[in-house]
Amino acid sequence: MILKNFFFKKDFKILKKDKKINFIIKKIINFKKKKIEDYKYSKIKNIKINKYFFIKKINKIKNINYNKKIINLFFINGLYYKYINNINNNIKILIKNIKIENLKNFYFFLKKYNYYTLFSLIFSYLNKNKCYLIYIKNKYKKKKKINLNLNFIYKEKKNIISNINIFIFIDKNIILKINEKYKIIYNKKKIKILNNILINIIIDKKSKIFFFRFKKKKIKTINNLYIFQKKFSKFFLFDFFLNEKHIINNLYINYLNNNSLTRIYNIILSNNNNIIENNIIINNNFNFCNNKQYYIGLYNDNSYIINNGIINIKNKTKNNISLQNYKNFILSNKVFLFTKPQLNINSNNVKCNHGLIIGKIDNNIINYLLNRGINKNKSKIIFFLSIFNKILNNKNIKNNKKIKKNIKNKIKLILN
Amino acid sequence: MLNINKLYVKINKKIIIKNLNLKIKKNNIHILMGPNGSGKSTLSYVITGKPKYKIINGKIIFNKKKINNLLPNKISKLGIFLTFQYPIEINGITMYSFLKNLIKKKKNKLKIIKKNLKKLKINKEYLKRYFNVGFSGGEKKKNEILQMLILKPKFIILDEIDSGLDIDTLNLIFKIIKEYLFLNKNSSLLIITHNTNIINYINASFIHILYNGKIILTSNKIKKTINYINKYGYNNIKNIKLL
Ligand SMILES: Nc1ncnc2c1ncn2[C@@H]1O[C@H](COP(=O)(O)OP(=O)(O)OP(=O)(O)O)[C@@H](O)[C@H]1O
Ligand SMILES: [Mg+2]
Repeated sequence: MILKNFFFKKDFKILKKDKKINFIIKKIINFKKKKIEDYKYSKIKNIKINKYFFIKKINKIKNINYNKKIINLFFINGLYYKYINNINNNIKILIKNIKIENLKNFYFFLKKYNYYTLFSLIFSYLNKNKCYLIYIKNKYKKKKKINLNLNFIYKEKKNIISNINIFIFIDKNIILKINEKYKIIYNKKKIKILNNILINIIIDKKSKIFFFRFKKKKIKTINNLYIFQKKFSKFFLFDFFLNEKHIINNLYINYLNNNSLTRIYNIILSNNNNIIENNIIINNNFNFCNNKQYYIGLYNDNSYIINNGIINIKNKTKNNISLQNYKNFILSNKVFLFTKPQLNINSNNVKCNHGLIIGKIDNNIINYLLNRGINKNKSKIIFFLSIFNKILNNKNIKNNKKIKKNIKNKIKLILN
Repeated sequence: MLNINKLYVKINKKIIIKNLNLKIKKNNIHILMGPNGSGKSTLSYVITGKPKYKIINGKIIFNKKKINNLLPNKISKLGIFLTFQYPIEINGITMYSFLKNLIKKKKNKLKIIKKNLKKLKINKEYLKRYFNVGFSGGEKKKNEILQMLILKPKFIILDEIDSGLDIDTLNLIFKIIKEYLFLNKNSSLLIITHNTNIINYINASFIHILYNGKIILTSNKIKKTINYINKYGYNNIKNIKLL
């Protein structure tokens, strides 16, 4: 179904009918009874919205004041699903199946950010992909903290191919945490899901973005993440692949100006016949940019792992710092691992470093743990946790206990 | 309790321990001294089952059970505990998440740990720190004793627990050890040390001198033996038989 207008009443009918989905959503956002009461449809009905959703008109959403700290957006089988309760003052959502003739409406963004977006939009139009724009606006001059959950729900008895494009424009001085979450309904039957997702994040000056992708479900995924960073912006990516059957993960980082910072933390835990491909390109086209990437992996069985990392440093740029660090633990000789850190440096004034380590279990630690009566398997788990904790103990990870537990269980599974 | 018979140990094709015999009864304290590289730590590793330390001959019997070739965790479960001369650091694992693995009971883990921290005068803030990372030499040694108190072993080997400790910490650690032995009457202790003042801290019943992988002297005249070593060193050790 194409969602033509955002606030039309008929959408709510669908919302009410589909009890299963609502149940799942309520679970996800921990919906409490009290909050349903202070949520009134009538408020929304009164808002008149033009067919083409101009940016100026959007300001009317101001009337709805929920003050929710977390914004949940739901995509079901690749389509946006309205669950309005958490529209927040600071977020403007433009949801459109974009048509070429509408593109002028987005001129504001195109001009403000960059022309790449334009091409992407045209591209996605030509591909008939669904295209969603999320604009996170800072009305206040001060720094503002916002959480955004992108929930992808799959509910079908048949196989699903979902192509989805999301553009996230982030205003100045915003601290935004984005969580990508997955849920499959009708999980019992062996349905195949191909999730082809393109997320463009355009970060304005002095904003700080944390992007978390901890997936647990067995979905075949092609992740395309394009990041554009303006002056003094910071981007942190946490990619934890614990249960991926087949994932291609393309990441492209582009600086639009000087003084940007990027950190990438990547954990892969893989067994069986999992296929995981990481392709990363970082373009240092400006000065004083600082990017560091940390990859830690534990592989067993017939895992097929590819890590391609390219760092390009443009000619005549100054004072860029780039670091790529891979640590791989291979537990079986059937594992296929291809890691290729690449540096294309065309500048003399740069600090670069790339290290590839085939990790070894530290026998002194294992022996110490055994000496304390801890059995061999548990000792190994503790050892690997100590390695992964260097990433997991990052203070920006919120449910660190839950994630640690998941990782611990997965290590257990891989070691057996 | 512990009975070592005609033991030969090889590491990396080199024989380190040659024909070693050692008997320790329950409720006993023994001291083991010897020059650097004589094989003291090696002996402690062999008793606790460290892999790659190959026993090419002889037997180690603990409470009537042969423990050669047992895995270290099995040996630990039997009640043998070693404080390491050089305790390792584990970056990424906090003290608390390490220590709770040592307690079988599901409940009150924190309470048990805190009780023992207090005994050792270790600040409970240390539980949040990574295991031994950035700890001072003395703090690492205290951490070893802390694990001993939690595990409650029957046979304890202290490998140079006393080196690098200040007077107060030294007194505290030996006070705790003596208290432990008082409360656990059947436990025994093997103290590996270079400290010739050891008799001021604890009363032992035997002293053994390890020289070149062999115990060349066992005596109950501890003060006399130590005085002799103090005077003449280990090089004149052959004459020590005159004692
Ligand atoms: N893994 C090893 N490979 C080769 N040689 C070893 C190994 N471990 C120990 N050795 C050797 O065995 C000998 C005994 O070492 P050990 O550590 O037992 O001495 P020690 O009596 O504890 O000495 P110290 O008083 O200095 O602690 C030394 O010569 C040492 O170099
Ligand atoms: Mg030693």
